[in-house]
Amino acid sequence: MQVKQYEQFNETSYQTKLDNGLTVTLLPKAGFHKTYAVFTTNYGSIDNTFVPAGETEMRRFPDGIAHFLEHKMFEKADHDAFQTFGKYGASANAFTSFTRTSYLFSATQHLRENLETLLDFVQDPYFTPATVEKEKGIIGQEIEMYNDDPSWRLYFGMIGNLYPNHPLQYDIAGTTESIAKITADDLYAAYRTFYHPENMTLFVVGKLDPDEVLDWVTKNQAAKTFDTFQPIERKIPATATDGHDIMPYRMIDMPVNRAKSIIGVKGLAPIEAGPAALKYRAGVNVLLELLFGDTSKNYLRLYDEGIIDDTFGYDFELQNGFNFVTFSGETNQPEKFDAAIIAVLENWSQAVEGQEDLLAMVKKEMIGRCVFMANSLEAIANRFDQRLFGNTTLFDEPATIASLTLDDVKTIAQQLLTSQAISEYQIRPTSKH
Amino acid sequence: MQVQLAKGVQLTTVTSHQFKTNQIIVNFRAPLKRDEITKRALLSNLLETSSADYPDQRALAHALAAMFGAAFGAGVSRKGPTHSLQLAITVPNERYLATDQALTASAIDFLQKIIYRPLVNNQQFDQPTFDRQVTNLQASIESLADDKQYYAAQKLNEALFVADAAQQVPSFGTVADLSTLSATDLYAYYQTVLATNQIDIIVMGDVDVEAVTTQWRQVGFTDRPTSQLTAFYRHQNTGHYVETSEQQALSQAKLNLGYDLPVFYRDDHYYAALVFNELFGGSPLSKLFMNVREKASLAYYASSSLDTFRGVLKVQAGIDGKNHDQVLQIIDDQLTAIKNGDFTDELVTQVKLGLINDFESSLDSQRTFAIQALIDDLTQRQVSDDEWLQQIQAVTREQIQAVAQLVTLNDGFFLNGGAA
Repeated sequence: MQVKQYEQFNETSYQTKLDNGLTVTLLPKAGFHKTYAVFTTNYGSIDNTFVPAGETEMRRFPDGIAHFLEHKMFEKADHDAFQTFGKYGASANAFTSFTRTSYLFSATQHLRENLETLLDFVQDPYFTPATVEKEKGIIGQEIEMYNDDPSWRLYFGMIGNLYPNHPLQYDIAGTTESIAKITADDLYAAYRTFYHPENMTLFVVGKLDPDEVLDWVTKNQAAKTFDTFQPIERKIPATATDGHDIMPYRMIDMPVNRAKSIIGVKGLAPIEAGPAALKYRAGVNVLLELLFGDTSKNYLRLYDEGIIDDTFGYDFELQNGFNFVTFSGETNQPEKFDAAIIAVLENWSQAVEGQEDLLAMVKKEMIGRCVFMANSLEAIANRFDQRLFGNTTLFDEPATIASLTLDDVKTIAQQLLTSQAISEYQIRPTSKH
Repeated sequence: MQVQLAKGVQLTTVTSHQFKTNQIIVNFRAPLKRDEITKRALLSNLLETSSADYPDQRALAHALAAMFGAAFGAGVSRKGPTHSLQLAITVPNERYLATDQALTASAIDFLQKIIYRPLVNNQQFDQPTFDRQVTNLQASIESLADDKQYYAAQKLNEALFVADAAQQVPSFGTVADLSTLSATDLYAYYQTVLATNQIDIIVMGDVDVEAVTTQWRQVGFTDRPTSQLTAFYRHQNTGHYVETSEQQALSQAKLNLGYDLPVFYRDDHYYAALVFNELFGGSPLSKLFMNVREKASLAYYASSSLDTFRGVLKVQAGIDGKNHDQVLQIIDDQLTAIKNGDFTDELVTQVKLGLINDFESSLDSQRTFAIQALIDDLTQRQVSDDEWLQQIQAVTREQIQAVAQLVTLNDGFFLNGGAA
């Protein structure tokens, strides 16, 4: 086991790779009552075209299959995994993102039983045509629910603008039409390809003894046999590095009370995985704080002019293979909102040049936020993304933030904030009846 | 540890090494009054965004950033017949940072400035700041109607409490009220809040209790009216079901049901009611989840929740509108099944374990301690963790059935989809 001490935080992480390829990370938290465990596969909604394990040709699968598989993992021939967790008092859940599927539980008791339940239910697929059909009704309702959510529509509208030829644009759950095509055989093909331990990580944090937990997990895994891992071939379409495929503007009508606007900036340059990615994320977040954070002059000016209000927010999404920034808010004047945000982006140097003092303050704020997150087992576990950030954890972030210079931030701004990477999407209220 | 700083002003300090942050909460509690609800919501927005020392949001944000990104917020909430205006700040514990700043003392000082030095000219809140916050609160109330789960829940709340306007309106007020408020009147009202509301100050973390107490004593709090606030509002059972409905251009319909359930926080039926709710619709093992969602595939969500400060039980489901009658029937069948004792002992054991898991897990959230301290002060009762666990374990099948017998369906709100 690799042991890493974070003295400033008074925390220690333990990491190892098992014989079957599974990476296990353990992080005990003194004083906590709960243990939180996440079992993650590097397989998400964008992985809809791949060479299935044991085959040789690329195949296109229906959109929403990774999420559908996540739902179906819980159901077994004679029981439901939720019931097993229930028996041991755990609260279980799962979620699918663009690039990952995670299964998790949190529990204050029966840690061993719950850990074994997690590993066993994810490593024992059971799909039949009948159970697959039944799930279509539930997921259909989930899709409908998101269809009525203006914030969700706004976000995916922007992704559609930025990635018109890329599976990112499809809703993670797929569509009613696409999931109608999913079969039990499809689920098995996806399962065999992506759920090999070599493509998965287990992260356990909270009340735990690392030696004991590692022993349980090792024994559980050693008792199972897996096929030899076949390196995964996924087909993710390349997107234009000059941004010419980006749709600059779209809008839709919805029955909302107030217009919503979103500005997107697509990261055109690929980001190298590992510590460089961690530094890049921190750098972009610092840049965004300097431009639009509540400590910035821009924020106060736009707020006092009534262009933005408390609904304004921004977000940087960095995942394996893509990254983009979004700025969104509700507004009575979407054109004015868009113009004001884009003006700040195009004149970024005004808010960055010579701002050493503000940079120092923003860094202080971001380092403090890492201390906040150290209270949350969920935050510690969910920030771990081995494929993207290597074996770094939350506790590596303060040093990364501290190392950022104004020149680093300027380099990032020059590369990221180019006019051809910017796009607008709006939701306008349907005329009132 | 608890200290009374004046009549009706309590300081509770909870020391713990578990968390890497320290949290300070100041809660102003008053009897819920219809004409004060919107005022208090607007007050919370004004206090959150300005003060004499930090006249605009940028100045305020700089002060927070200088405390290593301290998290500061203000908000309002309703509990039974009481209303709370609350300010909270959380700061990192300096021992986890390379600094010699005294962050907790700075945070308390910040909070005191926010409360006692608001941005005021000539006995009124600064007019441009007031106007901006009125506009923003109006916009945020209006936009909430776009959240259909929230909208349906609010409509049900209006139907359930038709006898009492103060219970009907949201805890953050209404747009109609906002236009009647002025910067002068609101400042006068704030003076009343400061002088008469019961104040709870809760400090949680790895702190120096004596230093914290001294710092709060320096405020010089004055005595408040001593009468203890009523903790519970008793919903009136109508004895029959009335459903209101509305149609909007939506893909998914919402069915929200409200039941009378005269069980109150920590009374005789309380622990059995917690177990009943888990069994009925409060968990993924529940009757509603298993039957409406898993077996019949009729919904993505179908769950129940208790309000033991008002004596009601609510059910919410996101469904296809055409299945309305079938869903209503299945929900009713689940309640009947529990009344009749149609559930296994194994399921009871499991939902109890789930409740215990939630309870113990909540001890890993710093905020839990403040929430509990506020409830204890309101209800004038304390229950130890062990006693809570024993009470849950002791709940019997018969007690669960007895709670189910107390449940009466009163109101429903059906938000149907399709064309508007």
